[in-house]
Amino acid sequence: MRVELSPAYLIHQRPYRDTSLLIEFLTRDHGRIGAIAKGVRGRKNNLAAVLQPFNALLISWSGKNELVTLSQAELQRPSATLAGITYLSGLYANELLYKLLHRGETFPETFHAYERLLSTLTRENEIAENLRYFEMDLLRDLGYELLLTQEGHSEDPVDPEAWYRYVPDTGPLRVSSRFEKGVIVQGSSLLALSRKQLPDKQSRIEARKVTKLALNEILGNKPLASQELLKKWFNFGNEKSRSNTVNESN
Amino acid sequence: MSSPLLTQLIDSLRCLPGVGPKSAQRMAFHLLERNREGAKRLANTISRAVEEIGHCKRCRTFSETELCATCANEKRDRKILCVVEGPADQVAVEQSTAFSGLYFVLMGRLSPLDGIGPDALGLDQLADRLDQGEIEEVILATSSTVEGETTAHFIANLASGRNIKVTRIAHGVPIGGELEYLDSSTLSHAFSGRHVI
Repeated sequence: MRVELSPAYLIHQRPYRDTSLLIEFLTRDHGRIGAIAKGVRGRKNNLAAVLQPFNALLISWSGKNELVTLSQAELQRPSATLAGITYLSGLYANELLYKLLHRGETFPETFHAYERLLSTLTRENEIAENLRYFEMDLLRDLGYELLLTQEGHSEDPVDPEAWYRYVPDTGPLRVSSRFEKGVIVQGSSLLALSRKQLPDKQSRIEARKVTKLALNEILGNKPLASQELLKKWFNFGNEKSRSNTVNESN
Repeated sequence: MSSPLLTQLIDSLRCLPGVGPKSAQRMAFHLLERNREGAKRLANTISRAVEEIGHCKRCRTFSETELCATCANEKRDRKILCVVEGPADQVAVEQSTAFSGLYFVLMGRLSPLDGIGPDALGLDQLADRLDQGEIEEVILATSSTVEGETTAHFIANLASGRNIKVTRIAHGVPIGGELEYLDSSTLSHAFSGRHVI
């Protein structure tokens, strides 16, 4: 099979043999693919500069096996300049895609959600909420849509004032106080997440708890390497660089 | 193969990068037929090197003494630290620039998805060294790849938290390169990193 100029983003790459790369792409029309890019690590090759994460690419490949051969990659739109925390947040999104998407299925919604996320990543103070929206869209595309507006079991509408224990697969279950065990969040935070508007710190922290719980269910509680890195980032750095987004985005 | 020892030699040579069965066989025959003296020397040197070469206590590069020659050299500028990914990069910087400061050799680069985290690169050791207060500038000379950039961002954070000046080597138009043939990523980097002449 030959595919010409398909929109794609690079999720992960690693060296293969002396001059080649093994690359995982997220494509709009063909889902996740694994490709060999032959000879791109050589001295006289311009392709390596294009094959960077967060660049919007148009890639061509051939092959019908698990691993296809990359024949061409063009830069459609260079990535915004990401540095520090925004760069690591981008890597976090890439790791989620790497660990959760399987080859051979298409994920058009995820592709667009990822594109939206990248366009907002440069706004450092909005990273937390934009990551939450991305996680939510990703979960939906994978078939694990978050239940946010109706209570589990009873299917009553969620009350903004009430407290809920969030249970994956079941949804929010009403509890009598915020001091119960488990992931306890306020109804207003669930509703805010469902509307993709997280106005305050409390709603962002609670939204994080909910998406983290849902993601951990599928990831099997294996720690995400980029999260570990982010933790160390703040341990190594000084207190000054500890912005408000830290606890919410990590 | 008639001789088990010969087979073993050929298999052992294959641990070298880029050496397949055919070239391993050629090397083995060459050593036995034409250069037994050289083979002996090679064998001795390899076993000594593996026994004796460790890492420099300060910069982590390969060294058979506690401090490598560069770190022990009194004439080098102790206020500037150049962070590189590996000994090969250190040699490249040393040969082609007039850099006279000290090095820190990471022996790898951050690649969280492949399980290489800050601990594997001795970043605790680097942090300790920055805490000693002698260093005024850190030059980040890591590759311009995903892992290289991640590493650079990470160390930049580590150093700026300690009020140390952090610089990154420039990305741009190669000497003798024509703009027309340059890829767009490099060109956009070159533009954003332009400087006054």
